[in-house]
Amino acid sequence: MLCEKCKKNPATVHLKQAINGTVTEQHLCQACAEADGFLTDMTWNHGSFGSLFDDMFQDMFHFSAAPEALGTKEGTTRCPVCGMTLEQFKQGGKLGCAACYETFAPYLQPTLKSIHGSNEHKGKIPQKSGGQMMARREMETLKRKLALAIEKEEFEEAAKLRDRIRQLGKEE
Amino acid sequence: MAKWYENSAVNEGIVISSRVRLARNIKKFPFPVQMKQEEAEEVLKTVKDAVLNDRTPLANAFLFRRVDTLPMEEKRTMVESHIISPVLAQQQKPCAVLVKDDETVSIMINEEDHVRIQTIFPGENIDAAWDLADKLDNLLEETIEYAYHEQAGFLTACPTNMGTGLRASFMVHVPSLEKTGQMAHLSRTLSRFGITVRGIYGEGSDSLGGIYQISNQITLGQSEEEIIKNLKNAIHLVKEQEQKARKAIRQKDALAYEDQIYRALGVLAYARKISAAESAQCLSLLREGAQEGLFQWHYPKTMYQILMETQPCHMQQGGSKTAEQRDVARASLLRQIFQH
Ligand SMILES: [Zn+2]
Ligand SMILES: [Zn+2]
Repeated sequence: MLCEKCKKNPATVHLKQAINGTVTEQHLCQACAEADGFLTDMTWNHGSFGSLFDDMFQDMFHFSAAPEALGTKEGTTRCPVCGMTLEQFKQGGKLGCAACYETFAPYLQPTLKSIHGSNEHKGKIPQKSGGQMMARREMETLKRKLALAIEKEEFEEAAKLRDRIRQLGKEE
Repeated sequence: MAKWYENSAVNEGIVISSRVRLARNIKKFPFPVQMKQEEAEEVLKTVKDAVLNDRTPLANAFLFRRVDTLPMEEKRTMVESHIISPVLAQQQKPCAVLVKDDETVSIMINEEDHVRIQTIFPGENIDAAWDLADKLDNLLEETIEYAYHEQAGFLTACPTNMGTGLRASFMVHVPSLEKTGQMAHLSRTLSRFGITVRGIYGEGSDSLGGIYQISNQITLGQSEEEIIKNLKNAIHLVKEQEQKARKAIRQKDALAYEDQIYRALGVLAYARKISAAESAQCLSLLREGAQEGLFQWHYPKTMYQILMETQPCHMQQGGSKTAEQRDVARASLLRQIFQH
């Protein structure tokens, strides 16, 4: 795939942006991405935004990655969704959007630890996104069980599991 | 419709009121600081519709008020009444508030977060405040998808609010802890348990008439119930300390103690001009005196209501006044109440 902008270099940066609920995709070469101000050595080449979000949160909440390990330099980190820079965040103390949590994770991490002393939400789960989350978790478990049942040649069990998976798929 | 601050429970104990605030953001919009004008308008409409289109009696009790277009004086008056926050009063982008008729609920739109649900109950009533906020949160969630992450909880503009987005607080009247200078020490102790002590108007504000707000600092890693339980433990300690300090002061010199309270009554009933600070001081003494059984509070309003209604912006209503004119108007208002 060629870069959408210069149409010369191969596209190495695949950017999915969700703005106001509309998802747009951009495929750019490194040079064009940098020129557009999407300058981060840390975010690109990670594939889709959704999985990146989860990965980063794992770093953020399990403290497995040191800030330096991600190779971001101050001043160059910019949220790909709302455009907020690290400098702006440091000055105002307010994040610009949900994706900022992921963009600035290396910087938030030590702060959060000192503010809350904890790293995992234990409170209310919203019914809407919470329901989807619970369904997703159940689906994953069912699929694992199904694979195991087939491996063990427990076909009666496998049939039951398949029915449940189909039903769950329909509900979504 | 009687307002929450007209309830006698506001006058009776060390705890004046119990408040719960929930911070929420809508998934599909950037947070207010990065919002464009049109996006801000859309957020207003989304939240307004979510509440007003709901056909329940609860939703019907709400009034929608656009805030950014109001004159500053009016906004400040709403801040003094705790209907909106100073942050909303300063917001330049489209913003609004949904207020319930008895003022127990206000839902601020486009403050620091898209949605700030706030419930206030008279006296020590934090469970009821949480219960109502929780219900309203569910109501909004029927039509709005929140910014939420499995591990991080509700995503807020300021990371200090993330997780539950819950700020539970008690407004307390602790004149003796203030007088004896114990408040600073107590607030250091409480901070070790994740509890913050602030002035009457929140972050950075001074105390007024011995009134403070005591709230949770931690929002992540604890459930809403745990947060509230922890705060209740803190308030128990505060009440105990205030009672001890009060007793000690009174025992040390009972005559001086009573004298200053009755002098305060004299000032409120007869002064010809009085500043907001002095009247707050006198009102504080009177509230304490009534609690200590020196006299019956037979006045038509609670101390907290009078305190609120004699704040500078409330006094300013009905035409602009100089500082002295305000002090004269304040004294006249107080005489009407206390010459009974
Ligand atoms: Zn290119
Ligand atoms: Zn952002």
